[in-house]
Amino acid sequence: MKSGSNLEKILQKGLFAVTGELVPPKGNEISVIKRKADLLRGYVDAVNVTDNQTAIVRMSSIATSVLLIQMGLEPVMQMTTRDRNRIALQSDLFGATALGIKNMLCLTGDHHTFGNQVDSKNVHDLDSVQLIHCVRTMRDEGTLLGGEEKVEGEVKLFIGAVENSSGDPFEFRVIRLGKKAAAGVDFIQTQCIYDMNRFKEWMKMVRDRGLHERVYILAGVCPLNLERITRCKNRDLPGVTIPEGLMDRITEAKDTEAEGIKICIEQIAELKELKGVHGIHIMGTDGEEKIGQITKETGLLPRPRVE
Amino acid sequence: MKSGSRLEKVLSTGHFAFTGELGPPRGSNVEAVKKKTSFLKGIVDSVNITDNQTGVVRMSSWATSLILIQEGLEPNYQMVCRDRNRLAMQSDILGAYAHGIRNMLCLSGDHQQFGDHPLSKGVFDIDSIQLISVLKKMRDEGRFLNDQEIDERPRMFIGAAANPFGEPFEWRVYRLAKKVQAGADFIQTQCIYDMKRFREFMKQANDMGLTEKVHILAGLTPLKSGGMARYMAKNVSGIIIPDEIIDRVVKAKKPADEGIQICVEQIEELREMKGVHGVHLMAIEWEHKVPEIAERAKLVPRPQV
Repeated sequence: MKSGSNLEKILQKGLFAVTGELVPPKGNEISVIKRKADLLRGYVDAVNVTDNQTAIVRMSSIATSVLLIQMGLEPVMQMTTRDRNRIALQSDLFGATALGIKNMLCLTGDHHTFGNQVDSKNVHDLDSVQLIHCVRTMRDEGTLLGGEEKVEGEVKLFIGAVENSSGDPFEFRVIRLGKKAAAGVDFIQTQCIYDMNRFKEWMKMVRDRGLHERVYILAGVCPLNLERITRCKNRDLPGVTIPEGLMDRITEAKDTEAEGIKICIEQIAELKELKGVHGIHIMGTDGEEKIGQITKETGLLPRPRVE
Repeated sequence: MKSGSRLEKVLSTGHFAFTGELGPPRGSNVEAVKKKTSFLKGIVDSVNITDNQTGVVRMSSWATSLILIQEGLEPNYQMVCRDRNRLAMQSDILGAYAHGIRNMLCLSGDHQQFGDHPLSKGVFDIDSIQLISVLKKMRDEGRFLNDQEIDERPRMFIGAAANPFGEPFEWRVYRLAKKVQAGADFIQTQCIYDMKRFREFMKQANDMGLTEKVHILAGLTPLKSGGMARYMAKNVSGIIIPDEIIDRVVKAKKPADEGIQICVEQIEELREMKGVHGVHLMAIEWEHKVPEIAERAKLVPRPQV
């Protein structure tokens, strides 16, 4: 066991994993986190906690993750390289593991000019691949970046990263995944999938390189709605492709929200059968609210208990 | 009350405050933190938790602060501008407050060149004075740096550091004034050995009316040995150790005892100094000596507030 986290145990046993996502509040309001935690409890194996996503200031991922542990949920602490240099990243990892965090996700982070602190300096001392390597070295060799000196205690983390299975140039995406695998990642969560044909093509490339045997792949899903369709048409969702057939289903539906959930459920049923996919990662506000329904109707409940 | 922290209560009721310091471990070792806290509990009003001081990677200041809260002590969460941009800083402030941290110390931070990651990027998106003003704005106006509203404001007692000894000496008090104007509630100074020069600094601060706007805590570090005294005098920038102090420690039969004696004498003198509202004891890797110093300087028992 690398970390002994619930997520790691489930994946290691070959069970189909389910992860959810929680977006921290734009303030200190703990009740917001509690309400969201209540929606997710019992339906997921672990919960991603975003790190100032889209470069909008929210409660920090680590602090929110610690609150989730207190509320009885297992967090996947997201960490971007946009806001912290290697001193702060490594220091926060000591702190996070001391406080009981066992899963993390290494990300580069959305560029700050798209957020609400446009004059901020972006740090990018390391990139996401280097961060994976850095965490793996801390965990497996007990040393800091570029150092020989052993750290005090152990940094036991199950290391995750993201992959966009759909961005262009399409044939390069799998090479990037290969880099993350070589850097030492344990699991991957993909960007939101809507174009199943494209995802299947990507998975074939993953299998051809044997990467699905080296890392656990969790396919990302997010209920489709009118807002996402508009954003996609306005090219406001980089790296996400939505097939026209799906767009039509939503725009022509009487109840667009119910149709979005229905599509999501159909996708999960298909993903469960796809070779090399080890689980799903359910994202989005609608995903948070509807996670009970989605997991129930796809036969993913009850979530397994593992020792 | 701005924060309702113990430190704020002690200072606002006119008691002479006593703060300590704790350096986090170089790893995730929770026991190491707990051991150090055991020497400080009940002895000090609150404990500064350093933030990767001297640019050496250690457990993060705010995570260590949480462990302190669990152990029943009040932390002064230090935050430097070297490692985080304004996004991470504001985000960490919200998280720290949500977990019960009530005192913060805003610092620029030692340059990464001097630490164990010299190739790291120095961030310095904002400086220490700007950080004070960001924190004040978040607390008093309930707004982020970009003016957007916060859904529950972080009520922090805002601290900053001042060095009365760096050159040019006569400029130091103006830097203090900037920090006061930016919104600092309390100041902890660099460690003092040159009492004459510190008196001059305090006279300037009193003359400018700064001591009526901010609580100043005088920083002290007991000298453990003659070697340490000589090393610090020569190598640590912004610290002045007068020759007679070095001589006292070097010539003493028991240099560590002499170092503590000097520290106790200083505390007695500082207690009587106009505008000094407390002492900040930085007993570097000497936390177990803090109870003895507190006793000899009659700083215990601490007041109930």
